[in-house]
Amino acid sequence: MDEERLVKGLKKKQMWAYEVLYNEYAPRLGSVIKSYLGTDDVEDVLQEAFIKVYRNIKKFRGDSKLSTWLYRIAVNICKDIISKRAKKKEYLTDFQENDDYATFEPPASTNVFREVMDELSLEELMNVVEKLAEDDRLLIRLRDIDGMSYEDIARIIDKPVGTVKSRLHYARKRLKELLEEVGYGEHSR
Amino acid sequence: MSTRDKINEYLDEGLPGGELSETDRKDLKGYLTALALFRERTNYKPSKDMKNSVLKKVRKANLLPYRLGVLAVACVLMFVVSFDFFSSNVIEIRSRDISPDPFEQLLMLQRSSGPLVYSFSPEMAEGATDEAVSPISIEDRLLRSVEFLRDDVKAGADLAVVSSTY
Repeated sequence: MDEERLVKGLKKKQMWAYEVLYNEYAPRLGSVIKSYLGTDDVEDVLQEAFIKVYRNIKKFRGDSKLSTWLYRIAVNICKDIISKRAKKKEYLTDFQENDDYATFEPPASTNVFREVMDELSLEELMNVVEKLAEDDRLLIRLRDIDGMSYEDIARIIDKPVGTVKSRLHYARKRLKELLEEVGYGEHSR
Repeated sequence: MSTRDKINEYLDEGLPGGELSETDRKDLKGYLTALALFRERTNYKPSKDMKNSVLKKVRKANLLPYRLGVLAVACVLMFVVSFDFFSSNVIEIRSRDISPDPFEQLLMLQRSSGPLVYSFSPEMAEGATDEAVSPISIEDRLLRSVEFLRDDVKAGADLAVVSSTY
C-alpha cells in the first residue's frame, strides 16, 4: 500500500484506510508496546494509539515516515503509563516491596524458542529480560529486533541521535552482563 | 577496540565475521540468542476481536459529528414546536364589569351553558335521561347554585367569569 494514499485516506477518515493501517501496523506496534511495558495494557495502549491517530492525523505533515509517527504516539502513551506506575509504586513502597509490573507471558513454542531452551532455562531467561529497564528494552527492540535507523529511533523517543547511540550501547552492555550473570557469557562457555 | 565495541559495531554496521575473535563470536552468539528469545516473548498477534473493537471505536468517532448534528436539529425542532404550542394556547383571565345587573348576567351565562350543566346534574349521575329532567327544576337549581353570590353582588363586589371551551 502506497503510504501517501494511505495517509490521504486516513485524513479523509475513510474506514478502509484505518483497516489497512491496523492490519499493517498493529502487530508491530503491539510487539513494541509489549517489549516496553510487559504484557499489561498492550491492547489498551494499542486502542488508544489508533484513536489518537484518528484524532491527530491532520497534524501529520509527512516530515517523518508514518510508521515513525505511529511508534512515537504509542511510545508516548507507554511513557505516561510508566510514569503513572512509578508514582503508584512510590505510593505503595511502604506497603509492598518488590512490586514488579513487567510480567511477560510464556513464550510461544516455536523452533527458535526450542533451540534457545536447549541452552538456557526458561526461568533464567525470563529474569534476564525482566531485569532490563523499560527504556533499554525499547531501544533494543527498535534497533536490534525491528532494525530501525538511529534517526527514526531518535524521532520516536524524542532524543538526539548521539543520546540514542550511547543509551543503546549501555542497554546492550547491560543485557550482556545479565546473560553472563545467568551463566551465558564469554567467561562461562 | 574492546570486545564490547566490536560487538556494537558488528550489530550496527555488520563487520565481516572473520574479524571477530572466537571469544567475540561466542559473546555475539549469546547476545543474538537472547535477542531471538526476546523477540519471541514480545511477539504480539492481535486478535480478530481486538481489530473489530478498534475499528468500531474509529467508526463511532467517525459518526459522532453526524450524531451531534441530528441531535442539534432535533433540539431546534423541539424548541420551535414547544414555543408555537405555548404561544398559541394561552388562557386569558380578565376582570369584567357585569353591572348594572350582574347577578342576572351571571345567571344568563349559566343558562347559556345548558348541556354542560345537564351533564353534571345529580339526576344524570343517577341514570336519568335528558327528557326526564324538567327545565324549570334545572333553572331552580341554577338559581340556587349562584344564590350565595347575590349578597356579594349587591354589596358591590367584583365578579370574574372564566369562560373556557374545555
